[in-house]
Amino acid sequence: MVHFNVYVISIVLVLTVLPLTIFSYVMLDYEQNSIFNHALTKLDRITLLQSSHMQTYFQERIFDITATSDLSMLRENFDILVNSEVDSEEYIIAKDILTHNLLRIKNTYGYSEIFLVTLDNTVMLELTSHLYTDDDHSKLISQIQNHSVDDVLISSIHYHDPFHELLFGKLITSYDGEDLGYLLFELHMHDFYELSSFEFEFENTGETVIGNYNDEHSGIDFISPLRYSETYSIDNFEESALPMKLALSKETGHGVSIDYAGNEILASWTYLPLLDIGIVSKQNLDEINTPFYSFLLVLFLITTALIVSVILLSLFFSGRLLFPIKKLKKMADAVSNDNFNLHIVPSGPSEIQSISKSFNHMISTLQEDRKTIDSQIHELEKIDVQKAEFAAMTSHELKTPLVPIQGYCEMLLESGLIGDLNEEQKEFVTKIQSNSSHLRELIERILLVQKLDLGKVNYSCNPVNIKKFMNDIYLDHSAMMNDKQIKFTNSTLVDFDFTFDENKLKEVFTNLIQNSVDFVPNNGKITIDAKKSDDGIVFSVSDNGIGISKEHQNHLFKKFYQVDTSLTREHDGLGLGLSISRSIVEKLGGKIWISSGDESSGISVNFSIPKDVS
Amino acid sequence: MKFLFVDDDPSLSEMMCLFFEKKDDTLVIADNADSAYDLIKNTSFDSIILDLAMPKVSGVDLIYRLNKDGLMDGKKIFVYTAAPFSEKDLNELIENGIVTWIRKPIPLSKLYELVSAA
Repeated sequence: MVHFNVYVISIVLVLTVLPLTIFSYVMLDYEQNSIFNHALTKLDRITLLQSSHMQTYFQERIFDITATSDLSMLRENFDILVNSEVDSEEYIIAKDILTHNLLRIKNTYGYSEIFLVTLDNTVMLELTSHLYTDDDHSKLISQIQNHSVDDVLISSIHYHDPFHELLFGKLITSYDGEDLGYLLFELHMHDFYELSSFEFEFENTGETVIGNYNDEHSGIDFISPLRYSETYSIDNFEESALPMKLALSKETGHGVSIDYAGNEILASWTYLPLLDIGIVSKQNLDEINTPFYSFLLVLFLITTALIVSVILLSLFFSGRLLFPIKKLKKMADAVSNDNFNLHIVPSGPSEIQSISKSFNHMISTLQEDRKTIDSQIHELEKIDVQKAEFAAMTSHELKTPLVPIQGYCEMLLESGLIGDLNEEQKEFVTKIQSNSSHLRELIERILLVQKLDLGKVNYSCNPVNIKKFMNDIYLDHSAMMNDKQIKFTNSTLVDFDFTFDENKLKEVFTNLIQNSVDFVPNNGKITIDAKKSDDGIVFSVSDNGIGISKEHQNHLFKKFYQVDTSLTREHDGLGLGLSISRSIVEKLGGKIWISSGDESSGISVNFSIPKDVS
Repeated sequence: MKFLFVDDDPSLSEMMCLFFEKKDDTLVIADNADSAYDLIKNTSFDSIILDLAMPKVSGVDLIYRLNKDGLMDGKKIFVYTAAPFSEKDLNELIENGIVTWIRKPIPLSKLYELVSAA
């Protein structure tokens, strides 16, 4: 049985939560898409901004170098340095002019070093805090051979312990067209970052990284400081740093990927040809999704709150509905137990109130009906008793005149008392006598039934030996078998004492045996038996008479019941034997039943008497 | 011999009376317990035959009254009824041989035999 509450809650949940869930799903999808797209756009913009930032910066530097107003000063004085005697007055003046001017450029643009190197790698001027060897200089020159923009040679960004640095260089020629040597600028990338205010980090996990291929160990060098690593150079990125790999393969794009630290990220990348580097802007997906998670949390909280309130409301309303129904049920149960002193105070919804009112009305009607029925039953019981008493009295009165009738007959028949009768007279008087005897027996049986009905029969139970009892029954009834030559058998095998009312059970046996005698044919068979059972004893009277159909078996124990009710029926009797037997057996706590099959195989009437009847 | 027959049915009493007359005995009739009590008190009977079911005072009550007043000594009382009794005291009297139970129905000759043998 499913509770009403469950129905209500299920329905309300389906009606509210289901649409809400669908709505939430759609909303979530939309929200996630929009957050994702927004983040991509932002990363693209950052990448574009930072790369153009770098591009602009370096292009400005190139322009500065190319278009510097000091170029003529350089050509003139570099020529003197190359072609005049060292320590000559001319040389010293030229070096002073160059030193002064180049120092100004170094300070203005934040270069870490400036050199003037001849074609044969002789350093003519060196504005540096480091001491470089000749070998270093040849390396520097070889590095700037990479590519050039507007005649400015640019090296790749390389690591020169402890800094990443970039070299610019320009071939200086004299006014005569003679190649004099190189002017070299060295820029430390950290200085560039400071000067250009390049932003590496944004928000909590956002990062812009710059990288290029390291030819020396064929890995990726991260040039910029890294948020998740102290080392700039990371060799092995088999599975990670995918965006940087794509950027360095000169692609531009964006998407979900894995960064160098193995984080799941959303990234935007591009390649910067000017410096041969890749730029990647990225942010952890977790952070990007934070607003989505918040949205999800809010949605979850709202849904939960809604479900809880729906359940509570349903419980409240169904409770309001169910409480009066439960009250009604209690009342109905009480009414079933004959308690009519009830009144429901109508409460709850108006429909329930109306039921309560009808219920109250029904109770009062039932109460009145019950009163009527009770008084009628009482009346009927009284009438029944009166009827039985009347019948008993009538029977008694009917019997009374029979005693003198029989007495007179006897006097007539007694020889020598009032004169002898002739044979015919004797025969007639004998008939009167036997008929009145029969009438008297019938009346006595009716009287017994009435007494049994009225409960006026007394029982006295005593221990009886079953074997002896059954033998007595056998002997008492043997004479009845003579007329029809019936084979009468006592098949009792048991021998024990049992407590019951001996006379009453004899009466039962007499009735049953009489019935059998009436219904077995000449030379028929009647068997009596007694057997021990689980809770007492079972007696039986069986015969091979005409038997009885199932249809009649149910009615056999009713008073005055006859299988053949036609006026021409073969067997006389009042139909009281089985009824009397049943009354006695039941009064002794037992049962009586017919156990034999159909019409052809005779009948077996059994009755049980339980142990505990005293 | 002289008998007392106590019964409220006059036709039975009449028949009994005729029967005993024919036997050359005397049967005095009483149709209620009170007159029976008076007769027993004042007259000597060989036997008393008593119907137990009578209106007003029953045969059983009459026996108790006679027993209480000491009028039972030397008398034979026959109760004449069909069913066994439920009264314990009466059963006791029967067991002690003071009262004899004649179970109905019984042929007149048998009845006569019993009461006259006393």
